[in-house]
Amino acid sequence: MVLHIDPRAKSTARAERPSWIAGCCAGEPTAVAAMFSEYCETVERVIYRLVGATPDLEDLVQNTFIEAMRSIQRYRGEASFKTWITSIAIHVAQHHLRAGLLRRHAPLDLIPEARVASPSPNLEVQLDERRLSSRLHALLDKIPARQRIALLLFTVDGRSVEEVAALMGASQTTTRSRVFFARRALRAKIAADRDLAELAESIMGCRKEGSA
Amino acid sequence: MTSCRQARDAIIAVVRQQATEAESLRLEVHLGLCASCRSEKARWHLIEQLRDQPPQRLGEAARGRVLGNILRCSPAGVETRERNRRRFANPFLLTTTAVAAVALVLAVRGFKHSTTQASQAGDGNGAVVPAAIQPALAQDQTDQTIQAQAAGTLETPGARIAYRAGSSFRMLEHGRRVELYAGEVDVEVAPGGPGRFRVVAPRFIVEVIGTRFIVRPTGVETMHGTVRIVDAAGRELAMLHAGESWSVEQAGQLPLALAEDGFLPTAAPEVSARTTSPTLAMEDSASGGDRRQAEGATKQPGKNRVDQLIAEARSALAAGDPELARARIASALGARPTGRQRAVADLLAAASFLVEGRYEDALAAYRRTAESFGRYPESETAAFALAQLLCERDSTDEARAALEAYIVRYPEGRFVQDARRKLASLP
Repeated sequence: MVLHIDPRAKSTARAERPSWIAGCCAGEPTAVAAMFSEYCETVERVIYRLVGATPDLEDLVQNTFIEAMRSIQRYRGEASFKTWITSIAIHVAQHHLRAGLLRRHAPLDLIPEARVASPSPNLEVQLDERRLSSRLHALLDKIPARQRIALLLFTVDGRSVEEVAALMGASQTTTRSRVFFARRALRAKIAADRDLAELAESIMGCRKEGSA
Repeated sequence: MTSCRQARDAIIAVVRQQATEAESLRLEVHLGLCASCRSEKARWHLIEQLRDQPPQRLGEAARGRVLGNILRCSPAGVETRERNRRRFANPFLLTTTAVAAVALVLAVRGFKHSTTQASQAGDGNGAVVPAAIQPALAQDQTDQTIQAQAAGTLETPGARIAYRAGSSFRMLEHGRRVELYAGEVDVEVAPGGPGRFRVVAPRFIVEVIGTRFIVRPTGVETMHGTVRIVDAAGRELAMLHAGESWSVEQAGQLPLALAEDGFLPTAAPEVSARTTSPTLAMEDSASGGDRRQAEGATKQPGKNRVDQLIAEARSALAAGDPELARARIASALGARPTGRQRAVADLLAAASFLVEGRYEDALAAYRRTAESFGRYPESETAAFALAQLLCERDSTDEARAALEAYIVRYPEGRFVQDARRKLASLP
């Protein structure tokens, strides 16, 4: 039996929960596998956004789904399943960041496939971009986990304050202040990091040369 | 006219890709006039890099592993495991447990000073554990061999060890090292504990990089995180990630990592139990094979004498006789060894000092090996071992210098990830 999940099923969710949720509650392998394949990418994306490149991605994704399975009985369908599992992924990432479990070196099999399969001619820029990204994440590591997550969801993901507040289970005022303090802290850290500025200039220079 | 404050809000809106055309236009005008806001925009432009990076993805194999683990966890099972994990990970509870354990150890030591130790002498170096051990007793059980008659759990600050009935193991180094003789232990290690957590099985050593794994004398299974399996000489045999397993057969003949008799209690019931255990029968026959191989080696003097002496030194070290090991090393060094053989011998000498607890000598030997044999892999091993030992000895500044030197010297080295993590965790 193959179950298909319609991510747009939220409109009917509250009145009657999708059948695959019942399957997940009962621990049916097909329902769990369908749920996993549907939302794995979403969870990977959220965790990558918040934690950065990490060899613990597999563990974090696994923890998110295990937590989801543990709590699925309590899913009431008030939000879409995607939002619900995103909020779980955020909490898992937050726990990971707060516990100081960061390791910044992704194993080779976790390097994005597109980059490995078809390297662009401008490899230097790609390497610089990756260095820049890891350096930015290193600066973000110095910011408290909740502030960091609020900043990334708001600034990089482009979510609204209301969305971020709902996902993090905080009030809008708290979320605004977290974003504010994170912005201030990150701005100071970027300004103090000369290597980062040089790296950025190098990337910009390469891009300009490439476009010219 | 746009103020700098408005301009900075507009910059964020641009980064979020939610600025209106009018906002963007006003911002451009302001940026033309204000150098400070231009540099502010350049800084936030960096953040856009994070959005533009392609996300990290799990491969098909990793996805399969994760799905397999999720499916293995029934909702009830997940609940129990998670509850245990949470309880274990609770920092307050860990602190409380640690304080209680330290208090108990102090109390027990005081009691030992004030009474005779006749009852202890009766135990030899082993402790027969009738049932599940209470967590607070864990500290008291260190440096004693535990013969579990029933399954149970032990908790030390930083690790939780569940063991099966019939398991035999010893906890050393304040619960950071477990020597497994028989049975099976399921180990869950909290991050950030003092020093690396190791389980020493008869033919291999498991070094904890991640969180949870199961060890038998014949193999390892990793539930979460990552563990590294090394042999007695510290050579890496395998790196296991979550969901992977490894068995000793995959590695062929391995030198002993643990003396088969040296640490075991001599009490008769345990000895007879060992001979009837199928797992241990396999272990005994394997070690018998190893002995035969060693005996065979000593009867073939025509072979490379130095290699033979080094092998004997390694066996002696594994059997817990560092003096004999050093005597063999000295003989090897006097038998015109090659550079590589000298490097191996020096590394073994360092390990022999470590076994004896002569840390200064071990540090000096590691340092010498790292500096003198730069083109051999033993030099890299020694450089990392030096840094690791300094970390474990709480010599923070020296450890930092050693780790940095290792990373600079071996940017693609075998231990570079560990070195970076250790460096980051130094105070």
